[in-house]
Amino acid sequence: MPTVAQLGCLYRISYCLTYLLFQPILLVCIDGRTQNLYILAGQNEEIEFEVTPDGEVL
Amino acid sequence: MSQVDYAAMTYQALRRYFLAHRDDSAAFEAYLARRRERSRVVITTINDPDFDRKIHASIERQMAEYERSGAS
Repeated sequence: MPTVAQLGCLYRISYCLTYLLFQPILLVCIDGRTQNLYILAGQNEEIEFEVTPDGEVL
Repeated sequence: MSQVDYAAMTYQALRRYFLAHRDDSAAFEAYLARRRERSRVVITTINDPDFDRKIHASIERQMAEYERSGAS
């Protein structure tokens, strides 16, 4: 399960992607090795973010 | 599925492959491993007052990079 920090970042990134920039979100999951939240988005699958458990966005 | 040579694929091709083959968890694992090898900078952190602006800028940068790369 994601941490509270990861969920907060996920909401704000999702808002920016979908509401401000009209970009679809393709995949959200946790990388089991690092526990980072992984986000893949974009009309062309070109946008990626990772959020560490303590809320750093990579 | 395990016959697929993920190592032979480019980063973008592997990404396209795992999106098209969601049942192939090994492909996604291979992709994440490839991603971990790349240096990733910290864009922002949850307590940054400038969080939203930095995320917005990063999204636009990633979209522009895709356009510049002349991707199909």
